Amino acid sequence: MASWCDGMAAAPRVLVAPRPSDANCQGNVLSLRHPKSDEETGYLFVDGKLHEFNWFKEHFGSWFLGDYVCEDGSLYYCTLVDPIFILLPILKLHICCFPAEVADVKFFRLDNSKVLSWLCCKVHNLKEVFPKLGKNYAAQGEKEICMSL
Amino acid sequence: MEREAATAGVTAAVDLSPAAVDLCRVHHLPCGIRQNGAAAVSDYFKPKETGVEVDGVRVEEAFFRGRKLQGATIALPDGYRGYIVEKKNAGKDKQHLEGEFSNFKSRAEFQNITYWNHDTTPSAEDPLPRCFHLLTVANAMHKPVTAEELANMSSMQNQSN
Repeated sequence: MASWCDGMAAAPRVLVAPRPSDANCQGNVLSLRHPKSDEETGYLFVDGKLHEFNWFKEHFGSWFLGDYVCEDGSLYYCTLVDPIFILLPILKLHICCFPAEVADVKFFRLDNSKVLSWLCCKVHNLKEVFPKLGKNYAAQGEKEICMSL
Repeated sequence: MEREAATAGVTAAVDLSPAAVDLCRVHHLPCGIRQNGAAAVSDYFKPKETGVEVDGVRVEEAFFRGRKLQGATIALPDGYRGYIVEKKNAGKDKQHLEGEFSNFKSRAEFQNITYWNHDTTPSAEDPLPRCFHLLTVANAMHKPVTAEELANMSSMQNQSN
């Protein structure tokens, strides 16, 4: 009987990704500078959205994928990334060293108070979800979070 | 060359078109198996419901090489899908000889992961279910901030100053 794994040259990888809309299921891996590590990192751009790759791997593990055994028990999973996080370090750098006016080129000046408000929105959204995830995260009290603001 | 990918910064193409095969669920085993390839898994590996529930986690039971395993099934969150992807003809693309370019294609899909523990009863604190928390956290953290949210937050900050 024909199987999904017939004729596979190399071991497959197990990936959890956002289900794209039918018209846009061709994704690209883009090499972008990671905002924290500053290193080139692969991001999945699919269905008009940017995603980060995460890797779950335990010391021992393997997969049963239907009637197929896969030695590599790791799991790749993609999570959404707001592209502004990728752009911020680049904007910050360039804002400081560029002259204010250059003919024919449109410049955007970074507004620090807007960046702060934007980050506050992020914190606000995170505060909403942490208590729902389980008791381990509920230890982060309102005061601790607000202090950091 | 499967698709036009001469754009700078693109290092791989990933084709997540609906695959013909839906495996429904895949099994994560708590041991290494030094083998990649077809095997009669479904003939010998027969998970059963135990009827036991721990912290809302329904415990299943199966045996592998005479060892008892206890497992739990996680449904992928709404909007997510599991893909089994194959790396295709890497390195044959002449236009990208200087940099590596890969093509990945989905071969099969799934919506549930059953992970199996050997020594412990499955619980919500196991590493695999916990790694799915990141999907929820990332969605909250990375969904775009709307102009309205930003305006509301700015005015709140102005008031508190």
